[in-house]
Amino acid sequence: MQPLGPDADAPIVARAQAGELRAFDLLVIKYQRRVERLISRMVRDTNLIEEIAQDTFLRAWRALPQFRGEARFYTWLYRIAVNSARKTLLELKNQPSLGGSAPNLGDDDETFWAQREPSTDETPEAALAAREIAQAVQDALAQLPADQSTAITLRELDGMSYEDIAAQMQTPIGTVRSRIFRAREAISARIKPMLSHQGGKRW
Amino acid sequence: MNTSPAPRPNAPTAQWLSLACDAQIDADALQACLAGQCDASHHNDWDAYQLVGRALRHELHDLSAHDPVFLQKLHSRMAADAIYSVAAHAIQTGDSAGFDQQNLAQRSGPAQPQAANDARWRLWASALAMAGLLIGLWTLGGLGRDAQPLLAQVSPADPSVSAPQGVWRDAQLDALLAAHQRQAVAVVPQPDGLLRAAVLEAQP
Repeated sequence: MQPLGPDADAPIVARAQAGELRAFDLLVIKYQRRVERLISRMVRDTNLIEEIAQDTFLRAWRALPQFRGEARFYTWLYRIAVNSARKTLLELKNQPSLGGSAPNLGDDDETFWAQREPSTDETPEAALAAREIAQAVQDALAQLPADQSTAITLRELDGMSYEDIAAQMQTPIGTVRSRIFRAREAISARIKPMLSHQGGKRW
Repeated sequence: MNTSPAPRPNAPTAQWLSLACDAQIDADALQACLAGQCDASHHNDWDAYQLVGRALRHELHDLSAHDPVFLQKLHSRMAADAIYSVAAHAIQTGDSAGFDQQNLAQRSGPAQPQAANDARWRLWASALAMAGLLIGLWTLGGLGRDAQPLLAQVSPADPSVSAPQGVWRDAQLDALLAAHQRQAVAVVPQPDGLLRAAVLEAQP
């Protein structure tokens, strides 16, 4: 689970709120699979899942001016996704999996459901691909120079700020930025060929 | 062993995106970054950076790449939504000339609350409110000064129907009211035709 702290999406959301479509694209890319996975817990029809995910992002785009940043962007998006799924299911009068396990919006947190999402919904192929990617990332991390490995680990695993990492590593913050970027580049270079071969959907 | 990749042509943008992953970039700098070349390869960079983070955090259920087709479809729907929005606005305002590409481009951003944030709307609303207030004050003041001569011209048909001071009365309505008070039946239309016959037959 990502450590709680300031919303890392805030600058991107601010640009998207100003009407910058390319900023919104970054949010869509970041959350597309997560939203689809969330919807797949309520809807079984794969075509419908994509349609509801599209509705979710379209509604989010329309409603962005009303997003005040009081909650994290994904928490807000999560509510839109759940409401979109519910609305679609009500329209279709077909609620095969909502029943008593419908998400409780009163819990006010996307982790409420994330912690209860069954992992058995993943296809075996998807689970295998995920394990391979995770292994490739760990292999790439092990081959990084120690300073880069430490910087990316402190950032991604421990959720430390760049300032704290700089203090911890006793190095200027600009160096921290550079190390984290280089680490990301090195690891992503290892997994990009695997991602390009990824096909199909994971729900 | 140093496994750092060789610098790439788009490395500056990729570095900005790496900073954006961690909110280490302010909105203005991000805008400058996005205003440059931000193409599909950068989308892949961004996606891969997110994926690396999830893999390091052992979030194995989220380890799949984004679908570029999904984004294309979403863009199409957003464009259609913007066209619909502009068309609806043009119909609402009767401004067919405003339905052009420039207007569309301006409206393709997130929908703004139409009336609430429009300075021109607020200006017009203020002017109308002020005009309404002035008319109201003028009317009240005018009635106070000129009510007596006006009321003197109106002679109610029946003395029993007297107009209170300061209230505008209609002479014809007063006459009808007086007649109604004298004999309510007289001013009520009598049934005719089949209904009249039925009423008359029913009477003893």
